[in-house]
Amino acid sequence: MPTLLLEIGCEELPAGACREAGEQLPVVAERELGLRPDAVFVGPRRLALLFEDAPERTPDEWIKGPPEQLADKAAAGFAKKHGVVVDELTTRDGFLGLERPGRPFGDVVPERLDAIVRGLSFTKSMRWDDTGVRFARPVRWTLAKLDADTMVGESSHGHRFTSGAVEIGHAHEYAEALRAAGVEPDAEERRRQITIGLDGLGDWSDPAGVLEEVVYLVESVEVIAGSFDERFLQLPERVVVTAMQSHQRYFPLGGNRFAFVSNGGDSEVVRAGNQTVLEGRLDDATFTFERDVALGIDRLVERLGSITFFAGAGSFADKTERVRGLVEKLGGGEASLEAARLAKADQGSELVREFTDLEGHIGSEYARLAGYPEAVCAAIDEQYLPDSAGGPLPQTEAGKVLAAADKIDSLAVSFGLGHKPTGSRDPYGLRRAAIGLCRLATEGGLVIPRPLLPDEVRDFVEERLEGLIEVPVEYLRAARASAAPDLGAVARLAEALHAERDTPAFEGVYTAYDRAHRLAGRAESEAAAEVDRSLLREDAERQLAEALSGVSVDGDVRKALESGAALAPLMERFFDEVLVMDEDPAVRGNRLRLLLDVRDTLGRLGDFSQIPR
Amino acid sequence: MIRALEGFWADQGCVLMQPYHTELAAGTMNPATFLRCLGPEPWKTAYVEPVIRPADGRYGENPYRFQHYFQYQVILKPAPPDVLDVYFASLEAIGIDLRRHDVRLVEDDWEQPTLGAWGLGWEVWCDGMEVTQWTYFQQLGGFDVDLVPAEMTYGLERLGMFIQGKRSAFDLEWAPGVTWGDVYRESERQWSAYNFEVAPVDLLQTRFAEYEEECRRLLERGLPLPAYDQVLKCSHTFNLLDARGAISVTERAAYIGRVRTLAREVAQQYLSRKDDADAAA
Repeated sequence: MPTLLLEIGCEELPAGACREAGEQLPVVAERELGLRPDAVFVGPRRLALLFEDAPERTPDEWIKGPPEQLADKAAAGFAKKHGVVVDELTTRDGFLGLERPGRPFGDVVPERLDAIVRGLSFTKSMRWDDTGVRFARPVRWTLAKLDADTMVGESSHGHRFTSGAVEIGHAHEYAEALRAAGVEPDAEERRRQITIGLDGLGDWSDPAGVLEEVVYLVESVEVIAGSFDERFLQLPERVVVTAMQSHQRYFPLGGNRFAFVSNGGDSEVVRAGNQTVLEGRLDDATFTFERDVALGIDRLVERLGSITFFAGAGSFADKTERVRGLVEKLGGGEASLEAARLAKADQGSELVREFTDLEGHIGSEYARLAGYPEAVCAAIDEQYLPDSAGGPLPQTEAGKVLAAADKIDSLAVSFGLGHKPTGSRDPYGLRRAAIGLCRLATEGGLVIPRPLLPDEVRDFVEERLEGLIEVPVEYLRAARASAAPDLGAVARLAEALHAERDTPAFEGVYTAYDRAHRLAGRAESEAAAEVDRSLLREDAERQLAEALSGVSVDGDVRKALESGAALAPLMERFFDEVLVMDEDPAVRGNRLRLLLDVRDTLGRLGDFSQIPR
Repeated sequence: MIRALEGFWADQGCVLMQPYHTELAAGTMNPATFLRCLGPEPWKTAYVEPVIRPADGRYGENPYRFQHYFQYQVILKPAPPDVLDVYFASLEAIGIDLRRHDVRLVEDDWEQPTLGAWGLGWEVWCDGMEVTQWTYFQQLGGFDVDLVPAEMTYGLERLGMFIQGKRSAFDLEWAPGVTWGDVYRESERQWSAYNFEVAPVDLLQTRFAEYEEECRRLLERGLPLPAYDQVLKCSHTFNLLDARGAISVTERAAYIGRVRTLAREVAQQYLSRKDDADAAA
């Protein structure tokens, strides 16, 4: 069986496009060729596929036409459509049709390669000429080899600057020929070479995960170490790391050393150039850092009045005031109040303008330099945590309180101004803030009183609990309607109700609630304002009222359920012996109120009507 | 270096243009790029453009930030298939040995919301230093381009620092015995003061509205070229107001929207007038 090589030569593809192509190529190739590739090569300047068992011919086809009995009417048209005469049609299973014999495989390769190029789709694509083809970057050559025969194109191309056109003698010599021309076509092999190179240089790190991009930034791997002047170590470490990683795609090696991956050139020249560039960036950062520090964090706070937080929601000074108020209501101590006062100071700094991802962190460094206590500095650093769905929570108490206050304010302000997330649109990251708030309550153990959240925000936040705790959503809905005082308590109640769902106590409470709710729930308008004991005539209703006053549903859920369940037999008797819908409206209203009191007392444990039985 | 670039691109058949006569925040905004890249006619040009970005000034104290600097702008419309090879040859023409350095293309997609324009391309890195912004335009003024142009914007100070091995733009040898700093440091100081402290906010706001109105009036008269100058003035006025800190987050979006609307109308009229002219001819 022959070996087939397909190569799509491109101008430098972004890493994201390389990943998309790598995922789609096997699928698209199978669709267009009926073959799964044995190797997929993905790099910035080329995408290639190797098939070791290509067929000699494409399979014979049977194109089904009209039923035999309609031959008079339809045969001519069918034959014409397919460019044959009626005599060439054959019959199979009562249908006319056309045998289309398979073609030599090589004949279909050009059109199939073209279809593969057109079949890939990228998140961001462009056009570059009038062919109508869209691709992540321009396609500049294509090559197809069937064993030693060239079916499409002429040659491949080696490294952009050290090599030219590369003849591929035979399809299975592809990778070898490119390696000789300074190109490593296999992404996995490049990753391996980079990792080995980095390991050889020392203790490297990659907090921002740039390795995934670097694999697709080079065709030829050379890992080089560099260093920068030690005076830049006075900068906050994360500023240095961000300059290295986000701006330059370097790997920190600790201290003043770093590593990077070069795509070619004289390594001494390239090292010197990269060191100069990094030092330039650090120089620039130092310039702004020193200006900020000379001013000091307290002076930066003074600037906040003139920086808009959010149009319609005042300045960062206004935000600071609101957050301080929330910190107080959350029971935050002195450290968290002080942290709240300084939290947004770095919004007035120049360094944050250059390193926006380091907001909070830069403020904490400035607080530290100004001699503020460690608890204050740590809280400022942690105020935006958790910043992703599974990201770490603040570790300090003050940090938790400040992080919660900041999120509550952002949510309240955005909702208040009508900026609610819709569908997938959430430009202000409100979903993330809401999930963060829930996690601070559930995992972080922070008490976040529900009344601190405006109604709409509270609903939005509590709905996020659905994705965080593992109980059926009905239990959560039940718990959300309870008297649980804080966000964490809602989650715990939902879990407890779910855990107790098969116990007799739960059953008892559920039934009592359910019966009371069914009968009295829709007659609420007829109920008395409160139970009048003098109107309780029957023994059964007096006993129920008596027992109700002894029910305690606050505190431990199991005990509460047991306490509430005591009502179940009395309810049973009540319904057996008492006619609620008495002719006397006063008696009737009184009995309805009694049932509603039962429902509302038990309802402090949750809205049981949400839970299906 | 500028001479070498001029020679190289002239040899490629580019029309050598001169800088435009009003403040631009990028060489892209020069009508020789923005308007000429619209429509079906091929066009090749190269020119130096002084770029004015009021918010980027640092009083001449920061060696990397200026409110006024230079770009070298090249447009090839349509982009020929070997456009990257031609570009790399231009780097060799200014003395960069591509085999000794690590030159590569790093994804960087370009978007200019005030002009309703975007494209895909790269930053060109030379040993980690960004020396060129490279873009295939896809839309300008909200219109899909007919022929896809390649735009190459060389940062002349960066490139000069790279070639001369200088750590500060102010130390660049701009002419024998004359540094870039000798020529521009004092102007950076004074213009930074103007941009950040002195520029009259009320007056600028009034002017913005006047330029906007003038643009509409000129469009009504069927004069898209003078109208485009008003768009440029609006854009610069907006940048000045921004540097003065006089624009809040929501106002910003509204200002950008106003400029974009004008740019789109100018682009539309520029295209339709050309169609009319072609029909008449």
